[in-house]
Amino acid sequence: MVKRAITTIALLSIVLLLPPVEASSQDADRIIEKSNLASYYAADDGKAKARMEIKDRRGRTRVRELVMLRKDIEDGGRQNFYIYFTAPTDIKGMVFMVKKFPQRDDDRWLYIPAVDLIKRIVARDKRLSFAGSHFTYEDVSGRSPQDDTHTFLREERLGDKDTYVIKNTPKDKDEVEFSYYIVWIDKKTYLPLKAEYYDKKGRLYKVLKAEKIETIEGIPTAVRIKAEEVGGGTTVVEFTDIRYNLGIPDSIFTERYLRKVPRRWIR
Amino acid sequence: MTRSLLATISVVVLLLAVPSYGAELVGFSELAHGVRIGDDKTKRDGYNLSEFRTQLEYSRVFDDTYSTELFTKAGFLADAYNDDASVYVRELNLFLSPLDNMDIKVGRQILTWGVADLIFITDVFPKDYESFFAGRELEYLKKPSDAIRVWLWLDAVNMDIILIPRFEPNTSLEPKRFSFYYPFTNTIEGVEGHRTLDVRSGSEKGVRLYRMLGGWEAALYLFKGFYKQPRGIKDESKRVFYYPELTMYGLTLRGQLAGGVAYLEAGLYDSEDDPVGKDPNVVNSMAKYLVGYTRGSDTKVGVQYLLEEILDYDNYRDYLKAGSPMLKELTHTITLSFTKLLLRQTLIIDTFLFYSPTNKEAYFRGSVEYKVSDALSVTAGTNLFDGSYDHTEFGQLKGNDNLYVRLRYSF
Repeated sequence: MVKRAITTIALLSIVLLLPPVEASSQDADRIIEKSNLASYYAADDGKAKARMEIKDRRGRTRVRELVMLRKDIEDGGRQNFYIYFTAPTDIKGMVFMVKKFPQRDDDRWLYIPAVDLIKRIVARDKRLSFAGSHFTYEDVSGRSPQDDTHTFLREERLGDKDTYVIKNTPKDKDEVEFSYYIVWIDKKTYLPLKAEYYDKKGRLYKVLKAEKIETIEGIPTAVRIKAEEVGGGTTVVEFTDIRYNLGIPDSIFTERYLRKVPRRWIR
Repeated sequence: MTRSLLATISVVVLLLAVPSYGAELVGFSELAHGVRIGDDKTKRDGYNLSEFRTQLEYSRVFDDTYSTELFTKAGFLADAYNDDASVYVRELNLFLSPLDNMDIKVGRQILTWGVADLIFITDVFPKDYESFFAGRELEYLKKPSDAIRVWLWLDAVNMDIILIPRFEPNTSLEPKRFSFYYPFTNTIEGVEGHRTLDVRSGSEKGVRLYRMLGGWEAALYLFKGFYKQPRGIKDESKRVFYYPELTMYGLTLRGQLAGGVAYLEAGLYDSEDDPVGKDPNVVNSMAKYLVGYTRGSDTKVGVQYLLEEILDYDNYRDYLKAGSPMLKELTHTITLSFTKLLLRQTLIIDTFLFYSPTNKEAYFRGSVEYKVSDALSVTAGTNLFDGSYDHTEFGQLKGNDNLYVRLRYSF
C-alpha cells in the first residue's frame, strides 16, 4: 500500500516536474487554424482604410488607396469583402466585392462607375497581384488552411516575440507559384509576423513582414505589412481608421452597394 | 500647328497650377491623335482624330447615412479635326434612397444593361461609335442619357426601372470624319456624302428584373423606345433617315463555369414600325442570341458567338428594293479577345477581333497602354476594318483604318 502510494507520488512528481507541453508537440494544423482566425476573422466584422505604396526595382512609386469592409458569416468559413478604391484617379470609385466560400470558388465582382459596368471576375487566379501590388488576392482575403499541409519546424525568437515556425506545402502544386512557404506565428496573438515564400527551385523570392502591430479595441491587429520581392520591388500597406464590430449589414455585400457607395460605413 | 501646340501646353501648365481639392475633385487632361492609314475620302488628309480634352469629376455627399450624393463629370474638348471647341457635361446626377429598399438616380447618367463584351443586345442605351472607331478611350463608347432610374430591392427579385423622357440616339458616324455606306447610292461615300438624321421626340422606358440563382446572375429585360441607329428611311430622295420604334425583350445569365465566367445574352427586337417586315425602308424584327466565355485575369482570353436572325425573312426578301444588297436570314459573328497585364499591371495589352463569316467582314481593335506613373499614361492603338462587301457593318468602314496615340495626365 505504502509502496503503491510512493510510486504514485513519484509518478505524479515526474509528471508535474516535466516542462510544460512543448509547442513541438502541438498540432501545426491547429496553430495555422488559429492564425487564420486571428488574421482574417477578427471580431464579426471590420473596417479599415489602406494605403499601399508600391515601389518597383528602380524605386518608382505608385500609390493605391482604398477602404475595406469585411463581414464574417462563420469564423474560418464564409466571409464577405467590399473594397472601395479612392486613389489614384483612374481607379477612383471602383468597387471590388468578394463572397468567399471555403468549399467552392469565390464569387467576385468589379464595378466600373465610368461605364456603369459590373464585371464578373474569375476567382481561380488567387495568386495574382492585387491592384498591381506585391500582395496577392490571397494575401488580402486569406489562404484557406485546407489548401496546404502544415509541418511544425521549431520555436524561435523573432525580434522581441516568441513564435512558432511552420512550413506550409500546397496540396495542389500546379495552382500556386510557390513550392512552400514558412510562416512565423506569434505565440501570444497568433498573428503571422513573417512569411517566406520559396519558388519551385527552392529559392526564397518573397518575404512578407508585419512591421507594426497594435491592439485595437482589444484585438491585436497588423497595421503595417511589407511585401518584398527578393532583388525586386516592395509594397508597404498601412492600415488606418481600423474599427471592429460595427454591425455592418449583410446587404452591403450585394449588387445594390456597387452603385450606391455605402458612405456611412466607409467614411 | 505650333500655335495650337503652344496653347495646349499652356493649358496643361495652367491646369497643373490649379490646387487639388482633395478627393472631391479629380480629373485629367488628354492629347489624342489618330493617323489614318486607309483610303482617304474624308475631310482631312491623313488623320481622323486630333484633340485635346480636360475632364473633371466632382462629387458631393450630402448625407452619408442614406448616401445622398451629387455627381458631376464635365469637360472641355478642343477638336482640331472639326476646328471647334466645346464644353460637355457627361454626368450630372443626384443619387438618393427615399425608402429602405429603393434607390433613385436622376439626371444625366451612363446606363448599362447586359453581360456581353462590346456586343450590345439588351443594352439599348445610346453609344458613341464615332469615339469608338476613332480611338478615344473606351469610356466614350457609352453616351450619357438624361434619365430617371429607380431600383427596387425586393426579396424575391430586384427591379431596375429606367425612364428616358427624351429619346437620345447614338452618335452616328459623321460623313466628314468617316467614309461609310449609303443605301441611296449603294456605295461608300466620304465627305461628299450627306444625309439627314430625323430624331423624333419621344420617351423611352425599360425594366429589368434580376436575381441570383445560386452563383448565377439571371435577368429579364423589357424596353420600349427607339432603335439607336437610324434603321429607317423616311425620305429617299432627300436622304432622310429616322429612328424606328423598338420593343426589346431580353434575357441574360452569367456565372462561373470551369474556372472561367460563362454568359448568355438573348434579345428579341420587335420593329414596331414594320411589324410584318414588308416595309423595305424599315428594319425587320430580329432575334439575337449570344454565348460567351472568358478565362483568366492578368492574362485574359474571351470568346463570344453571336447569332442574329432576321424575322419575317420571306417578307423582307419579297419586298426588298431592286438593287439593294440582300442580307442573309442568319448572320454568324465570332469575337475573340485577349488582354494581358504586365509590369505590375502598368502595361496593358488589349486586343479584340470581330469576325463574321456570313458577312465576310472583320474588325480588329488593339491597344497598348503604359502607365508611366499614377498620373501619366500613354496609349497607342489601332482600328482595322476589312470586308468583302460595302454594305456590311464593318465592311463599309474599310477606308477608316487608323493608328492613334493618347497621352493622359490625371490629377
